[in-house]
Amino acid sequence: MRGRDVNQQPIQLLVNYWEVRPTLMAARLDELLRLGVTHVASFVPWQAVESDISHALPRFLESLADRKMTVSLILSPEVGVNFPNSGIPKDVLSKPETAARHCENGPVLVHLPPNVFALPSLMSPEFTKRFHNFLSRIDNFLADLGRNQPDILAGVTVVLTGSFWKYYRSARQSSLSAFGGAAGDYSGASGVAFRQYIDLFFAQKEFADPHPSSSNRWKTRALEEVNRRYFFQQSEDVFKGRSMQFVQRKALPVKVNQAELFTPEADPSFAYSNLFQLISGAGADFSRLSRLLDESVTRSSDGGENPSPSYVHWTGFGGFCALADAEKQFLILKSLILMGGSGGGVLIDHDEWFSLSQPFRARVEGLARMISNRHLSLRSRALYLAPHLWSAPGVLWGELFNRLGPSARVISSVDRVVRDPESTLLIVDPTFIFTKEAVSKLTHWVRGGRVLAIPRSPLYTEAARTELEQVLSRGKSMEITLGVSYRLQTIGDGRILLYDLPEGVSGQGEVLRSWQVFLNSLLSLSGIENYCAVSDGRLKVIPLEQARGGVGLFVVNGTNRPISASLVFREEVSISDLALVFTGKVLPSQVQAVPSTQFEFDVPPYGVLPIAVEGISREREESVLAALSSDSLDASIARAAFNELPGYRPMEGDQTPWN
Amino acid sequence: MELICDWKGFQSIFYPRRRNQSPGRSALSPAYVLADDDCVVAAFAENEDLSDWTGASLKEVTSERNHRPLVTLQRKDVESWSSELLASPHFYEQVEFLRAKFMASAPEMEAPFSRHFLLEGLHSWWGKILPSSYGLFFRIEAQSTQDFLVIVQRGIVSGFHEPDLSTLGFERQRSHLEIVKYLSEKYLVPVQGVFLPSSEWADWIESEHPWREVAQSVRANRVKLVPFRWSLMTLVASRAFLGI
Repeated sequence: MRGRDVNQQPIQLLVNYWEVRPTLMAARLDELLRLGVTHVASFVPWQAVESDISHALPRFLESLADRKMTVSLILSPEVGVNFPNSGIPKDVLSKPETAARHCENGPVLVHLPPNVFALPSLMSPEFTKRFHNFLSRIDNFLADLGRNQPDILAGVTVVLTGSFWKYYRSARQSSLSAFGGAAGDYSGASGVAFRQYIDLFFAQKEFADPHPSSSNRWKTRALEEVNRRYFFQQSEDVFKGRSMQFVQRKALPVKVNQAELFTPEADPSFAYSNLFQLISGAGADFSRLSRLLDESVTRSSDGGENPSPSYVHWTGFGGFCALADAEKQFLILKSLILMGGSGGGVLIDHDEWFSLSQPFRARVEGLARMISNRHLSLRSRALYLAPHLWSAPGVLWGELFNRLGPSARVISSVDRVVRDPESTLLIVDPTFIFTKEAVSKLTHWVRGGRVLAIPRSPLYTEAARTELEQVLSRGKSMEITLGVSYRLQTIGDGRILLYDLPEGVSGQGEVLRSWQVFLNSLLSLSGIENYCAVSDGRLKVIPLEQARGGVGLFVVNGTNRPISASLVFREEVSISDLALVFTGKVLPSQVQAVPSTQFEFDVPPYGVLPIAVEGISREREESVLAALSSDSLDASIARAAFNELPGYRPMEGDQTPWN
Repeated sequence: MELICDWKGFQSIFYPRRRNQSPGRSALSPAYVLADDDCVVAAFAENEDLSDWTGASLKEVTSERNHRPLVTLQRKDVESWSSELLASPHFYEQVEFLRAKFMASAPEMEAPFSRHFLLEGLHSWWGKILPSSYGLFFRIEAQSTQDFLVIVQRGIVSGFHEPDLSTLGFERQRSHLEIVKYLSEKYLVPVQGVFLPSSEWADWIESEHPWREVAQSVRANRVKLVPFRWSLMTLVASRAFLGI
């Protein structure tokens, strides 16, 4: 699993080393090699490592190295692992104090084979101590292997995932809306850590301004939910950071990557579907799995300095394998388009993969090649900054998601905003706490023509408020009431919208209408428009940018009926069949239809229709991106000159080399 | 490393996957609704998207319901079953527990699930006659042979997996009796071996009277029971021809 820049493996086949008998391992790998597989992934269950008396893992790595195959070893505790308790030692789970609790105070259950179990709390000191021992053990093991047989490690990549954090959600709330309600671990261990966090976090000087007792206003019960969201996000980031440190202590030659692994079959929003399926013996709830993919792709977590690529994991024993082949193929293709296009991909059990037809696999591999070569990518056009990635954001996010679908992203870090090269709109959640640094970074991000919407909330520190007032005093402003009342401020080419929260934050009736009108203004200001409209609401369109220009539209039909519809564009465009381009035999220009604003088409049941579109104009967005690219180039040149030329001073203000 | 509860193997033996099922096939299966008092929290029907029902009131759903029979469950009950099933050792037992709870809550309803005929037999009155612990070893021969061992203890399926016979040696692996003897010694339970071609196994699963098929297959020597036990054959015959 690799990051966005080198997404070499959008499809990864899961070959769990402990599932294959050692005597059969060589034959299994030879068979995979014969089928053209040179890279596999394997979970490394904690319990399997602790009881690996037959040295299955080193033998597995040796067998791979003999065949010049590469492997991703997934170390973090994950759900959807075909090992009792997903590989977590039974003694760790048997203690009630180590169990996680969701916001409604129930256990977080995973209804997947080989057994239903309750997730442990990643904040339990006992759990983390044991887990870090496990990581140290792996680190030592890899270091020893590196010393004695360095060739074996050449093709090994260690992968640390987001683990259980995103699954700490109530099944009831998630069933109503996938990431609805408050996510996070509400266990006793978490409660203790939360209190410590609150004391420490608000002891910072900025919160004690203008006088020391000011910090108490941040610790009130009214802000408890907001603070918890920050706490959960920070705990997750710390967990990931520590895990990285533990596996990088000794095993220096091994590549270590971070990824976010979604296992839809184990997601709390699928828990009741799982129960229905178990009770009835029926197939899985396909439409729920499909919808969950739409939501999952919009959550973009951070791994150190880069966004973690997101992968969807389809198991070989959960609801997925009870689906019909057409449904499976649809989900695989959709997850590849969504996750692969965003720098991640699909992780699938190798038996499941090879049970699918050869033409389908060839088609998917063709698409994966295009994604891997960066010919197609899913660009995030708008960002939504929230304190916690897995908790329900505000109403505005729901509307943004309805309008932009997978082109909108929820993020949880200001630094991530600063690093984002693509988006032209940023909306900040009303529960976001503004510090001076956050205000400074966000207002700087606006320059270059982008649009920033921030709430007029009480959650600003004094320093942040002063900083914001200073920034806002520099440009022209006007007060507007369009749905929501807001102040529009121009900063260079960019715009800041300081919006009021309407009375009642519910997402219904008049309030919802106000938000919708406000969102229209935001999208209009930032120049974001949907590429096209579809005449039938059952069809969804996923837009992927083509590296050579133009857009690849994937029209997906997640129903079991054929749908005839038309695709309507604002201006005349020409379209061609992108599927033919997958094969590499035909160029898009060779199969173009006559330019038009409307195209009729039929999408078969569970079908994905790939269309290459030429001629869509996105002037406003492109001018912003060009300006940003120019700014970024100027900054790079200035940095390079400063480093290379002694005595060089960057020019200020209106100075140019010519005067 | 052997997985004692190999659910993937268990599924492939006892519940072979349905490929390319037609949408109409399950059109008359029930629609399940999970309600939190009067509010629908989740709804499910095979091959139908009932997401619109989520968040609606139970009354609305009942009045709108389509051709399918409606099964309503209360969330509190289901969550209490979920917590209780953690005590069961593995997935098969957990599913059985869940189904038993469900059937107890809706005694008038016909069971929506079908259990494999062999597992049905193991859970029947046979438990009173069969030993307290025993194993059933299946070798299903097709292009590639599939081995599977089910261990039953006190009427409960306690383990299921493909046993590792690699230490047995190539010659001994070819002897059915040696395999059964080896497994009996390894797992310390009497093991009944069943050796048959995959076509027979598939026919049994498809048949309306599987036990009759089993009895006829054994009689025609298409299936080998190793060791051959008359007592076991009596049980099979009683189920096949008397239906008990």
